[in-house]
Formats: sequence, C-alpha cells, structure tokens
Amino acid sequence: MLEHVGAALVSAFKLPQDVMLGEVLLSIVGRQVVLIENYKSIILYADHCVKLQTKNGKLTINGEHLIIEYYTKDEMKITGRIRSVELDGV
Amino acid sequence: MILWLLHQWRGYLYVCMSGFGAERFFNLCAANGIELWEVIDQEKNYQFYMTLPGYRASKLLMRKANIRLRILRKMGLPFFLYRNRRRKLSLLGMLMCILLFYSMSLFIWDISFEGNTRYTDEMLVQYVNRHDIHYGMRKSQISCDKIEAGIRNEFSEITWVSAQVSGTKLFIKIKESEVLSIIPVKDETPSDLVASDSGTITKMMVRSGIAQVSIGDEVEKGQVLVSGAIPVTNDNEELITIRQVHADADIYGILSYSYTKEYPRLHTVTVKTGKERIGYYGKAFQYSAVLLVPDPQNRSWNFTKELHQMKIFENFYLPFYYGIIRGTEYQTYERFYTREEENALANQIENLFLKNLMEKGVHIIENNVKILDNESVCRIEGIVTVEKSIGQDLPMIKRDEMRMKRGTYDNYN
Repeated sequence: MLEHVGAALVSAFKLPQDVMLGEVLLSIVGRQVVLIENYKSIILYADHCVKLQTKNGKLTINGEHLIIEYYTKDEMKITGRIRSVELDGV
Repeated sequence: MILWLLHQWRGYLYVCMSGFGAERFFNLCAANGIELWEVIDQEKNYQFYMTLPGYRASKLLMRKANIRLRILRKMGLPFFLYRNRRRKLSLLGMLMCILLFYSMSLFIWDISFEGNTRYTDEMLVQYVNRHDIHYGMRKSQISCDKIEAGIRNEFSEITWVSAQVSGTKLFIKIKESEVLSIIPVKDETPSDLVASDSGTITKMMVRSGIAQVSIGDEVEKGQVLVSGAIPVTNDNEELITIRQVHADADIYGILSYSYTKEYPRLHTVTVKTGKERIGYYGKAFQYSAVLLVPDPQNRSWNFTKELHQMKIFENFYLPFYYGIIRGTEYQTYERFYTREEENALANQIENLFLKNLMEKGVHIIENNVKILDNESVCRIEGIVTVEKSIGQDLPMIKRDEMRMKRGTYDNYN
C-alpha cells in the first residue's frame, strides 16, 4: 500500500524513481559496456552471464567474455560482448 | 588517475579465487567495502585485483564463503620497497630526486604573457626584469598584486592585468584597451598652410583661412597656400586688425617623384646540396651542451634548433631544456642576374616603392621605369606621377622667426 502511495507521489512530483524508490538504473553503451546502479547483490557471475538481484526482481546480462570492471555496494560496470539484458520478477 | 595512485600507494594484488561460494564472497566484499576490480571468470576459478588492506580484511570472509585466494602478482609501492630494501643507494637516489623536484618547485622557471598585442613579450619581460622578477627567482618573493599594479601604471594601453603563479610558471594575462586612450586635441595655434612639395594644384577645399592659390596653379615647395592671417576691416574698408587663425584646408596637387636604385649584377647564390646532419642540444640552468659531430671538411651548414622546456605536469616547468639541431649543407657561388631576374628584381623594387607611397595615402597616376645596366651594376630609374595632399602646417611664430632671422642676416650683409 505504502509502496503504491510512494510511487504515485514520485510520479506526481516527477521525481527520479531510481533515487526515490531505489529502482535499478541501467546504462548501456553500445554492445560493450553496461553500467548498473541500485542493484542489491550478485546471484551469479560467469563468463557468459551475470545475474543480479534488484529491488523488484532479477536482472540478467547475457553475453560473451563478460568482465566485472569494478563494483561497489550499489554500482557495477560490466564490459564484454553484451548479447541481451533481461529483467524478470514481480 | 587518483585511484591508480591510491592503489599504487597502498599496494594491490592480482589473485586467483577457487571454491564454491564465489558470488557470496563478492557480496560480502561489497558489503564490507573491500574493493575488487577487473573480475574475470576463468571457468574453474576467478581472477581479480584487490587492494592489500582489502586482502588482509577478507580472511574471515574467505572462511565464510568457503573459498581460497591464491596470490598471482604483487604490485604497488609497499612491495616495490620490500623488493628493493637492500638497495640503499637507489632509495637514496629516489629521495634525492624527490628533494630535487621539491626544491625546484619553489622557483619560477617560466614566465608567460597572454593577451598582449600592442606590447611585445620582450617589452613586458624587460619590464618585469627591471622590477626584480626574473626566471629562477623564488616563488615566495613574487607579489602578484604588485606586478598587476606596476604593469597597469607603466603601460597606459593595458586596462586589466592578472598575475598568477601556477606550478613553476608565472602567468600574466593582459587586456588592452580597444579605444584610443588619448583623444587627439585639435590644433588651434595660428598657422599658415604651405606647400610640402612643388606641383600643380588639382583639388582645394578651404575650411579656415584665406586661399592664396587656386586650382591649376603651379606652386613651389614652401609657398603659402592658405594664409591664417585674416584682415578685419571696418565699414570704410580700413584695416583695423589682423585675426590669426589655424589655416585648415585639403589641398591636392600633381607632382612627380624620381627614384633610382643601383645593385650589383653579380650576386651570391646559395644552393642546398641535400645533405643533412642532426645534433642534440641540452641546457640545465645556465649551462648548455651541444652534441654535434664536427665536420672535418669544414663545409657550410645552415643550422636550426628546436628547443623544448621539460615539464612534469602541465605547469610544472623545470629549468632543463632539450632540443634537436638540424643542419642542412649549402654551397654558395657568384653569378650575374639573368635578364628575367633583373626584370623581376626591378619589379620588386618598384612595387616596394609604390607600396610605400600608397601607404601614405598617395594616388599614383603614372609610373615609368627604365632598367639600365652595364657590366657590373644594374640601375633602375623611375619617374612616378602622383596626386597627393600637399598642405603642411607652418605655425606663424615659426614663420615670423624665420623671417626675422632672414632679415637680420640680410641686414648684417
């Protein structure tokens, strides 16, 4: 209930959802770089797949030669040959 | 860059991780603020970089995640110092180097000016040198406020100055006024307008004074064209007084100039042979050295030097210079000008003369040039007919003095 109210308020005041609601923020540069913000934890990391837990579900990055360039508690930069980015969850 | 320096300073490791709880270990590291980067999956294990403090802090996390870390490489300053702990002289050398750079950073090794167009860099350098601001002085002795005030006072056309010491460089930025600082005052001294050259008058427009000549008149140099003495008469046309004004008029006349120029027909020609030499130049403080193989045959060379000042960062200049000296061999011989070359040279001389005239606002009507040459000398003779302003101010005081002198001289005789 509270979440719905919060989402409505953020939408009404046109506030950034990633900051206010902690939604995952994805930036993709070509096929080589993906920058993920607001993720929760790493579920799986392999050469061809990186699976992350976000607030509202799971984020899967498929590709080849995937390297975690750097990561912190809430930010991660992945490089390699990106094939797909999938969001699944609620 | 800062992160890289920080990693180097603290030391970092390239490790290989094996075990089952890799992802758990990554999450634990993130939660505990342990920095990992360039994580690569190598099928059976993972390889990544981590900081030395991070490695020490992750011992407990390794047990928790049931993984093992194997160090593949050690990098950074702590490991470098440990590896070279027995090399005391190297350490001393490094310390001396740091000390040298630090001591050099206390001085000014470059002075640059920006925004000056009317005043050359040399003029400004001379000015700052006169005020004891010079290359190689201590930075602490520089007062930027004094420099700014001094430059503004010394150079009237400079309206804004900013002096700033950045690194080992003194930047002086200047803005010059775009309007004339002195408004020319109209000359109101009583004067006549006399002919500056002999010629025939073509145009006249008198604004002040009484014209003494008219269009078409032949005038001699020094002849009064417009008189500044205006007689004031009463109703009976009797002269009461003479009012003296500043004669002002635009008077143009046609006149001819002749010019001659002689130059020897024999001239020295320089030809490049195509051979080149390279040498090196180095300078430290006021001492310089050149590395250039001497030429045993003592041939003629034309040398150019490309000089660069060494710097560590953008504005951290050092008192060291290096450069490349490039030499191109040439040979000289004497020969006579060909007819085409003579014509080209004559044209060049003529164009230069005409250009000088045109820059003075002279309108060229006719130009006749003759090239006369004998065995050794080539002579260019030209007569140019021009139309130009021939009015010239002659103040009345000066005119009276000249008359008095002439009168005294005449009486004396």
